[in-house]
Amino acid sequence: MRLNKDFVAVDPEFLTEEKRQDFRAQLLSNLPPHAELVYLVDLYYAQAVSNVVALQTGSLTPLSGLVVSQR
Amino acid sequence: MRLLIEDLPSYNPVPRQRLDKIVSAIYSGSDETIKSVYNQELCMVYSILAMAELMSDKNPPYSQLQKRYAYYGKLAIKLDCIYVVCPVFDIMAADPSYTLSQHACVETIEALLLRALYTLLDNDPGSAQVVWGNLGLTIKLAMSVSEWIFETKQCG
Repeated sequence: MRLNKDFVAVDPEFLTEEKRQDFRAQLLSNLPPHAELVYLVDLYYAQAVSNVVALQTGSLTPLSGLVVSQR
Repeated sequence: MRLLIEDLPSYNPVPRQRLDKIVSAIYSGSDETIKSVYNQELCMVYSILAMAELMSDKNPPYSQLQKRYAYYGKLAIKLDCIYVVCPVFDIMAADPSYTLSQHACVETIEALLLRALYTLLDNDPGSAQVVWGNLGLTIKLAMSVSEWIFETKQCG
């Protein structure tokens, strides 16, 4: 499901409380199914965290393409 | 002796157990529990999803889905004003819907850190400059938040 056009067009910083709650509900409903989320979270803790360490220690250059090719 | 990446302590602003708590609250199905999830925590989840999608074999890197997760993360943190550090207790007393989550808090710092990490991994040209700006803001906010927490504990 995509977010409605209002959300994309309006800067949320200037929203009323009602609209804010509405957009929050939309964001919650746009989360992936639980199984897919767990798969992605596992992947993040297995790979993304170690890639960031590699960037910090200089064993990878800060070019995103190289980060992806390391998987 | 050669140092391996695996030997280094991983830089991980949000520990796995903490994220699991947030995720189980979101997927609990109970309205009350979902209400307790801060928008900043929602931003954390979306930022982690965006970074994981970058590493996923299911979609090519920098896919539409990854960009969408990142965008939702950005919107989630923008739902609250992150520049107000100290809550105004008078307003809180007058308006019950005005909660602490509408201020910068520890969750804001964690979310901003994850946003900065995502930007670092993104293919957006000039993202390195954006990261410097974001990290500067994060550090200043972290100092203010820690100062406020210290003062509150001192007063309490």
